[in-house]
Amino acid sequence: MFCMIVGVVMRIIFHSDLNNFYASVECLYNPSIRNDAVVVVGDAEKRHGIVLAKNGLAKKYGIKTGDTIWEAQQKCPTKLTKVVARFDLYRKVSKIVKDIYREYSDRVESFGIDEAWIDVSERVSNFEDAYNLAEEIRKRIITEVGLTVSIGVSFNKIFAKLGSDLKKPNAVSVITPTNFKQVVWPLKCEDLLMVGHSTKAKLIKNNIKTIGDIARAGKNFLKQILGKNGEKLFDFATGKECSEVQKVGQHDEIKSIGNSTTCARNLTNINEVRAVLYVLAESVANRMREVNLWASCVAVSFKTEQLETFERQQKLDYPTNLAEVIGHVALDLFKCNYNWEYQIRSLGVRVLNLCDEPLQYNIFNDAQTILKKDKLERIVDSLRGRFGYGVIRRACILKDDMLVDLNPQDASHKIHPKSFIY
Amino acid sequence: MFNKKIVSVTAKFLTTGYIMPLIIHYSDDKDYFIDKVYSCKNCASLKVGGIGKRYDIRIGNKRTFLYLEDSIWFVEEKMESNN
Repeated sequence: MFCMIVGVVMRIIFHSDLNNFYASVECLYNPSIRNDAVVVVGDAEKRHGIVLAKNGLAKKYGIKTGDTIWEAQQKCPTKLTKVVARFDLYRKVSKIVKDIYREYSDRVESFGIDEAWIDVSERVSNFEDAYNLAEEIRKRIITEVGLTVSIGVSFNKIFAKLGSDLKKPNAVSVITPTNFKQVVWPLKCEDLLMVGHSTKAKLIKNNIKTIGDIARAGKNFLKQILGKNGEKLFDFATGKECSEVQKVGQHDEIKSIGNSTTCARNLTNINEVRAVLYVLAESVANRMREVNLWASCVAVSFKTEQLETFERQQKLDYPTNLAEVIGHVALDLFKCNYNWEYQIRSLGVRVLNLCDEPLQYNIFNDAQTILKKDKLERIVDSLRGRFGYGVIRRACILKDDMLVDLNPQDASHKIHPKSFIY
Repeated sequence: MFNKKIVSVTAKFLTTGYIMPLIIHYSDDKDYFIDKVYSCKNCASLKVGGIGKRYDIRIGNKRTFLYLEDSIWFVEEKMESNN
């Protein structure tokens, strides 16, 4: 049974967002800190010591995600409880919550560890029933998992997500085809998904301040100032976005593969950068081989000690999944684009323009050499699979154990929000 | 104040897959025989922290909860207050 509006089948979609997820899980498992200002932080010894999450009380002190521990301490000098993130625990709790969602629909699409869309169109036929169902889920999560959740109920994924941000914590908000202009359009343009700093700046420059302004600006004008994204934003703002909630187990198309790390200490010369880039490139190449993908573009990103970030990318002549090529291109990109004004704090390597067609042999590449290197790297993968990551390493990364003491293949800290539009 | 007291339990695994706790081995010299299980629900323990199956049980004439989280059993142990 579907909800009908003007003769069109309308979907009912929930977006569920666990409030202050990491901090809430820590408070659940340690009731003695429940009334403190709590921040969940990364491992300070590995210089991942930033605030990853905070509870409501810490938020009141102005602590923000991404603050360094030192900054957080300054904002709340009296009593700030710091706990080191336990990603395994968060993953476990996330799975319990998502299993609850899956009792209501086979279309449950995760958006990061603490958010998910749930398509309940086959279960409820109007927004009143949808509200009641969302309330039921909200109450179940409190009782069964001990966490609060904000649920947005709407007719597309974008408005459902907006709805879950409207009332926090522990609430259900409904955005319908009849009320969205009153509810959504007065909101700031940056409240809309995909409006980041630079898009916001362009919109504001054109006097587009609210989501309603985006809708009124018209598709053509938005396309002029934002390109293809402008068209998407117009659809978002006018409620025309219609991407499906993916079915459980449905795999997403992989658009890029990347690894990054904050180094144990700042990098001061190109040899150190080379070592870290090659560790990352090896990880990226290994992951590409696991899913049988080749890339024809490499991107390198880096952050200076001043926390300025850069990303540069370069197209390749032919697709590759060789760590040697990826590392080499990443290093070249770095050399060409950085003048060492400051030391380097973190580095990342990413490949994009992925395809499942291997190398097109032509007269410009030496196929035999490439095949040999491919075989060699697969042997390295296999050795590491059998004996552990450290069993074999490139000579260039053996010089400084502290710098390259990272195993990018270690999945314990990998929690990637996924793309939401397919 | 409550403490998360991890306990060992003697339980019966029924053919339905249901795990029926029978005895709580509270300490070396203290076993509690469970006289009745009223219900078993998925539930969080807000008192001591944990998520799992919550058994609502009776031991003698006292009702209490016994939790099973992953494969660990725990109870919410009342602590003496110093104040």
